Amino acid sequence: MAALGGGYFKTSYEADLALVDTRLRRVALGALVVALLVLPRFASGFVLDLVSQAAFAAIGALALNVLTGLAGQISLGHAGFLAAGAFTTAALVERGLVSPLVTLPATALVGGVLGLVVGMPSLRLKGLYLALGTLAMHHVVLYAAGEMQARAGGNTGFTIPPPRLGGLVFRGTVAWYYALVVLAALVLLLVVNLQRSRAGRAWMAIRDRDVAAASVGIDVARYKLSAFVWSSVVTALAGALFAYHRGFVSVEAFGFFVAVEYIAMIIIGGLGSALGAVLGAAFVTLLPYVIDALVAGVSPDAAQYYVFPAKFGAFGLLMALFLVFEPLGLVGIWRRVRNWFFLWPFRHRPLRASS
Amino acid sequence: MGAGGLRGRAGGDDLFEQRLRAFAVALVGGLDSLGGVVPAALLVAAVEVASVRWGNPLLSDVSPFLCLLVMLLVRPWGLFGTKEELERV
Repeated sequence: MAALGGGYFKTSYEADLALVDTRLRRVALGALVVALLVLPRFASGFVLDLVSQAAFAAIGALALNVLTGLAGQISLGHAGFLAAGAFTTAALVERGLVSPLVTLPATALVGGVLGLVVGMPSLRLKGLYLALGTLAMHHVVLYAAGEMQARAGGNTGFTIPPPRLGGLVFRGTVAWYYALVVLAALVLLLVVNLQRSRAGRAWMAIRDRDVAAASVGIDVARYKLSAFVWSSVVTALAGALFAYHRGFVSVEAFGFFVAVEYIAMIIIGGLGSALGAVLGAAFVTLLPYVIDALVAGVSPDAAQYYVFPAKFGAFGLLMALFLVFEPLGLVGIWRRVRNWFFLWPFRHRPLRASS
Repeated sequence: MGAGGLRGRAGGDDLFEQRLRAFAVALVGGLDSLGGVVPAALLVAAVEVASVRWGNPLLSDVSPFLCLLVMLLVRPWGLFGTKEELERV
């Protein structure tokens, strides 16, 4: 925005801190909240489930975005963090501690410790080496989870009862829809605030050039580790949510492809942008369903044979196209479109804008 | 990502994961060393077979990555790669 120039300045500290600053944004945000609140009255269970899945994916993508988008540390191990969260929950539930008030803090703790451990190599390794290090950690975590699953006695997984909070039981599509959307909104708020806090700015400095960051007094080791810990705590909590939401935990759900999906989300959405993470999460979640519908529309007979190859192919192709043609991702497209409408018929902001 | 997700059916994912161990071999040998690949592959395979023989099959799936982790900790440049000065923060 600033690159467009023009006189449109904030004159008070409050205005600078406000997250929704103009009337148009307030109205749009209000409309979005109302739309999300009343959606269960109009939409089918399938649509609600899709939105829930997108909200769940958004939590994971926002967490990964803190690490990769803001702090610039590549992680191929986020499916491992998810698995750690889900299996911590499963282990506690197996021992009779079913309350989310016990499992969620415990999950956060495990996630934090794991994040610290996985983050350690990032103090020495960079780029490809770090990516492969996190990939190795992913396999180690999955091995531990698989071992635990095998020990549980020939089970294919763990069954998790729906969580209770006081008299409230989260069960059914509508309850989970509200729970996941509210939690995704909270995580979004957390990430947006982290991003503009001291930590967020330190992370961005490290991402851009760690030597320069250190030279202006940023404790690089501390902030790299804190990025890993924030990211892994939120991802592990998302794993716990996954366990409760699905009611079933199994190693097969956390393959390496899940980690790739999350990376795809933040790249397609736009690296380093919270809005981008949400958009990317929705995009990657909905893409398979769109392809399903398209293939079924073209030829219903062929659908069952071609859906899987078509999904993989389209997924890879889109990733490549985004990297080549739109490095800023969906959020870049959104910003261009928005500015075009704001400024039409001009190309730049007028000097004296009426707000 | 659930029933409609992008994950392949049984088998597809396994094949995918199989290929990942090539990264482990390349890194253990040293990324810039072509000749290092052969001994590294032998070493990683030997560890894998040993873990099947004396450990358990689940462990053998991760053994290439354990080799990778150990190598990253001890000699990040690999067995035969060009030695680099480590950066420490």
